[in-house]
Amino acid sequence: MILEIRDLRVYFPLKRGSVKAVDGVSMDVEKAEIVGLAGESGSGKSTVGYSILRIIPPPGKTVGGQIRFEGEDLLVMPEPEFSRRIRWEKISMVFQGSMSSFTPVYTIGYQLAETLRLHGYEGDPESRMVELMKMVRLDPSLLRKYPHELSGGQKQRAFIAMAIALNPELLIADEPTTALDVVSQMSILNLLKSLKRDYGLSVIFITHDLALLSEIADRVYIMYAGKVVEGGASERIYKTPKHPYTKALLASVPSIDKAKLEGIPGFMPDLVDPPRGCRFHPRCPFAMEVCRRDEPKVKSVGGDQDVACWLY
Amino acid sequence: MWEAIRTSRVGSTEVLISVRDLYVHFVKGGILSKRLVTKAVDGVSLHIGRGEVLGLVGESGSGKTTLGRVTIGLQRPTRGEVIYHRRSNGLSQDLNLYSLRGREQRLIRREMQMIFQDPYSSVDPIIKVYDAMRLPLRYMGVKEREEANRRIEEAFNQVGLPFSLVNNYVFQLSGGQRQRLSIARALLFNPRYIVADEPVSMVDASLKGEIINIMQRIRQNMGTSFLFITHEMAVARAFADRIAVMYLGKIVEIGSTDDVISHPLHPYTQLLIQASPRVDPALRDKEVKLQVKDGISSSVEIPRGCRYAPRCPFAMEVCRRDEPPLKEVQPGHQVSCWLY
Amino acid sequence: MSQEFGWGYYLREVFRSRSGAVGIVMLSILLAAAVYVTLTTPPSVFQSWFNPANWVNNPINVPPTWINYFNGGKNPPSLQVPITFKKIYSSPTIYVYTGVANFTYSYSSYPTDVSLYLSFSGKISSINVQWVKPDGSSVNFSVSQPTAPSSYDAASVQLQQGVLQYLSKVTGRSYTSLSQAQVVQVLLSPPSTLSSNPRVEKGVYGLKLLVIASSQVNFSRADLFLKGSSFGTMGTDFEGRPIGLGLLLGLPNALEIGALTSIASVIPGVLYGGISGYLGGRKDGVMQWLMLVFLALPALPFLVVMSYVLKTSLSIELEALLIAFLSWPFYAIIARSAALSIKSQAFIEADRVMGIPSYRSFFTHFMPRLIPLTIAYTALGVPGGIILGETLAFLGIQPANVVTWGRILEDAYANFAAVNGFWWWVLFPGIMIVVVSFPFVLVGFAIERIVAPRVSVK
Repeated sequence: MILEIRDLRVYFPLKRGSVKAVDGVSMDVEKAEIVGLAGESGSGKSTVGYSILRIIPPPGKTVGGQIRFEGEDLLVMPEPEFSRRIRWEKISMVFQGSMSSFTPVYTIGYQLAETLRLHGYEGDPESRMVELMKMVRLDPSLLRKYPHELSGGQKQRAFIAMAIALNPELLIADEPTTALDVVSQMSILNLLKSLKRDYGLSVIFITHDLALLSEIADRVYIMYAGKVVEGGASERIYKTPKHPYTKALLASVPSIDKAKLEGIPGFMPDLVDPPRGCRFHPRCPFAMEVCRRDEPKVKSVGGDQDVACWLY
Repeated sequence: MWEAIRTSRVGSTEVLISVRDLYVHFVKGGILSKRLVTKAVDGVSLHIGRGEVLGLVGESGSGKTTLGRVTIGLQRPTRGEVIYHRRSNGLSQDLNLYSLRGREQRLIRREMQMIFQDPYSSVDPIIKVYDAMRLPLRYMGVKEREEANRRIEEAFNQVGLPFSLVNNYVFQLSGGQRQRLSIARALLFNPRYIVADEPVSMVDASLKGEIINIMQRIRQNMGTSFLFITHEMAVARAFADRIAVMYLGKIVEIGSTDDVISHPLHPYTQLLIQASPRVDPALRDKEVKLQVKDGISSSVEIPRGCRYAPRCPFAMEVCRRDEPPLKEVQPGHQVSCWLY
Repeated sequence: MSQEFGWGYYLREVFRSRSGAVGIVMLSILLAAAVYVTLTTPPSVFQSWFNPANWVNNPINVPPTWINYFNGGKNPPSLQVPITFKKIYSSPTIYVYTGVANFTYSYSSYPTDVSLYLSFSGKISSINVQWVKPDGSSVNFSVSQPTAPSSYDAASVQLQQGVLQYLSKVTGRSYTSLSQAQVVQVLLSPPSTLSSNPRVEKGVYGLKLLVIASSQVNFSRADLFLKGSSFGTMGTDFEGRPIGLGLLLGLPNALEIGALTSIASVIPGVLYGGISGYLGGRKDGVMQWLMLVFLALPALPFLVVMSYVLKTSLSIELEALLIAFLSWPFYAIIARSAALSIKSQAFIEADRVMGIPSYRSFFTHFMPRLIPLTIAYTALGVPGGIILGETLAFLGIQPANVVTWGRILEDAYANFAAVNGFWWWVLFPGIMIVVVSFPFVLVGFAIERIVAPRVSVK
C-alpha cells in the first residue's frame, strides 16, 4: 500500500456558503497499480487529485482527513519539506490541458532539462532525457523541437516524460486524454500500462469516461457529489455493479459495443446544500425512506467491493 | 427494437439533403506570402434522408465540421452544390442552397438549424436565458409574450430543462444545461434538418447519453433529419442510422451503422473502432495494438494517390499512385480503398 | 460559473478593490470641491484673477506661511491691520476725522513692504499719517488731495519723504533716496541700530491718521498692510495672487477639460473600433486604413497650428474636440480587438443560422461588452486629457479669460520662477495635476481589471 486516503474533506468557502467538494472520501492505492477515480464534473474527483499534491486552488482548503503516503501523513507535513521531498519527486501529476503547459518559446528538451535542474537531479541530464523520451515512446530527436511542432498526443506524452523525470512512485493523471483524438488516447493508455508493468509506477486515473477506465484500471472508485459511492476491483465493479449510480453511469457512457445509451435523469446537487441522507436519492429509482433520512456508510459486499447504499 | 426501426428506415427513405461533388478549398496568402491551399472538403457526394440520422465520423482536420457548415448554408463551397428537397403543403421544391436570394434564403435557413460543440460559447453567457430564447422567436414573427412563453416551455420540455431557468443568466448554467439550452433554441424553429457539430464532445461521458437521447426523441417526435458530426465512433453508433467516415476531406467509407461497426472495410475505420473505448476490464493488462503507421496527415499537402496511404499498414504500390474511387462493395455499403 | 455581470456587481467590485475604493473616495471629494467652487463662487471672482488691482495688497512671489515652521520664522506672514475712524469735528465746510490702528510685530525679519490702503467716498483735502514705533519715535508723512482708492507703500513718494526726514533726524546724516527695502527697515528698526546693523524692533506699533476733508467722508475700506514674505497655504505669484486660490479656481476647469476630452475621444473611438471589428473583412480594412491616417498625424504641431488658426474663438469645448480628433484611434484599436474576439465566438454564428440580422447581433452581444470597456477607458482618459489641456495652456493655447493651472505654470515659466527659487509656484500646480489624475487612474484600472477578461467571455 503506498497511498491511503482516509475520510478526506475539502471545502471551498464561498460567499453563499461552503462548497463541500470532497466530503469524507477514503481510498487505497497499491504499488504498481492503476486506480481509477470516476465521476461527473463536480463530483470532486479532480479535487481529490489536487489535495494529494496539495495544490488545491484557493479558496479551497483541506478541512479533515488523512493522506498517508508510505507511512507519512502528507497533510501535516510542512510545505518546504513537502515541496522538496514529495511533490514531483515521489508523486507527480498530469493534467487535462498539459500540452498547453509547455511554453512556446523554449524547446521541449530545454523545458525537460529545467525540471531536472530545478529538482537537483544528480545524474547526467542529457542521457536521462533521452531515456525518458524512450520511456514515453517518443523519438528523442523531438527534444530539439518546439511545442508547436508536436501534435497534441506527442505533447501530452512529453509532459508525462516531465512528470516521471524524477522517478515518482505515484502519478496522478487528471483527464489526461480528454482533449485528444481516440488514436492518441489509446496510445497514452498503452503508455501508462507499460509504465506500470515495466517500472512499477502507480497511477490514479481521474476521468468521467467509465468505458475508458475499464481498459486500464485495476481498481475503480466511483464518486458522486463529493463522496465515494462504490469502489473495488475492476472486474467486480464492471461485471457486478451494485450502486444505482454506478449502474446508471455504466448505461450512459458511450462504448463501441453499445447500440443504445441511457441518460441519468435529474441534475447534480448543489454542494453548498446537498440533499439530506443519501446524496443520490433525488435521482435514484430505488430510493427508500431511509435514503432520504440517513447517509449510508461504506461497507463491504464481498470479493473486494465496497458500496455506500441502503440497498445492501 | 430500436435497431430494427433504424435499419428499415435506411432503405425506404426520401432524400432531404443532397450534396453533389462538393469541394471547399481555403486559400491563404498569395500576395506577400506563399500561397497555401487547405483542401478541407475535397470531393464529397452524399445524401441525407428525411428523418434519417447520418453520422459523420473523422478526426480533427478531416473536414467534417466544414462539410456540416456547407450543408446548412454557413460556408459557400468552392465547387459543387447542396440541394434541399423541400416539401411543404404538398408542394415539392428542389432548392439549390447557394443560389437562393434574400427572403427565400432566410426562410429556408429557418428550417435548418445547428447545434454547436462548445456549450460555453454557443449561447451568449452574459444574457438572460429568457432573452436567449425570446430573441430568435421575435425574428420568427412571434410577437406576443404568451405565444413565445408557450413555445419556450415546449422546447424546454423536449430537452428536460425546467421553465424556471428562464430567469437565470446563461453563465449560471452548467455545461450540460447550456448544451440542452442550445438544443432547445434550435427546436424553436421546428427545423427539418439539424447539423449537430460534436454536440457531446465537451460534455461529461455520463451526460452524453442524455443529450443523445434528447436528440433521439426529437427525431422520433418531429421526424427531423440529423447530420451528427463526431470524432468518436462509439458516440456515432449510439445515434446514427448510417455512418460516413471522413479522412482529409474525402469520404472513405459509408454504410449503415450496423454494417460499418460490425464489418468495417476501410483500414482507417478499423483503426477508429480499435481505438474506441469499450467496457472490457479484461483489457487492462494488455496493450491494445493499433494498426497504424506514423505518417503525415495534412490537408495542405495531400499526398499523391490514396490520402491514407502514409498511415495505412496495408498500403500497396497502387495506393501510392492512384486515388481509389468510392465504390459499393456490399448493398448500401461503400468504401474507397484499393483492397476491394 | 457563479460570477455576475450586472451593473451593481461592477460597482461593488470596484469598491472591493482597495485602489478602486480609494480612487472613488478621492474622486468624490474632488468632484464635490469642483461643484462647490463652481456653484458658490460668483463669476466675478473668476474674473478677478485677471485684474491686478485686486491683488495689490498681497506680497508678490512669496512662499506659503507654514514654511516658518521649518526655517524658524524667517518668512513672516502678512499682516492686515484695520484702521478705525472717528469724526472729531464737523462744520459745513470742514470735516475732521482721526484714524487709529495698532499692531504687534514679533517677527525677526522685516516685511517685504508696508502699505496703507484707503477706499472712501467724499473729498479729502489732506491726510497726515503718523507711524509710532515701540521706542516712541515716529515717522510722519502727509498726502494731499488723495483719490479713491489709493494705496501708499514703501515706493510711494510721500512715504519716502517722511522716512528720509526721520532718518536724517535720527542718524544725523542725510540721504537722497532709499530703496523699498530700506524704507521698510527704517520703519521697523530701533533708531539706534539704523546707522550700522539694523535689526527688527519688536513691539507694539501704532498708526495715527488725521484726515481733513471738505465733505462728509465715508471710509469703505482702510487697512494697513505689512506684506510679509509669506502668504497663504501655497504662496503667491508675481502679481500677488494666491496660488491656492488659482488652483481652486482652475479645478472645475481642469476636470471639465479632462472629462470632455476623454468622453469625446473614447466614445467615438470605441464605437468606430467596435463597428470596424464587427464588420470585418474589407470594410474593416478600409476603416483601419482611415484610422491609421489619423494616427499618423503629429499631435502637437497640429494642435499648435489649429490653435493659431482659431485663436480667439477657442473654447474649452472646441479644445476638447481638437484633442479628441487626435486621440480616438487609440481606443478604436482596443475596441476592435475586443470586437474581433467577440466575433469569433460561436454565438455570433448561431445568430446567423437562426436568421437574426447582424446589426441585432451587434446590440445583443457586442454592446454589453463594449460599454464597460468604454467606462473604464473614459475614466483612464481623463488624466491624459487634463495633462494635455494643461500642457496646451502652458504653451499658450487656451481659451481666454479662463483660469487654468497651465496658465499659472506659464506665468511661472515666464517669470523664471524656477531660477528664482519660487518653488511653490511650480510645485503646487504640478502636484494638483497629479492629485487630480490619480483617482481617475485608480478607478479606471479597477474597472478595467474587472472588465477586461469579460470581453472574451468564458
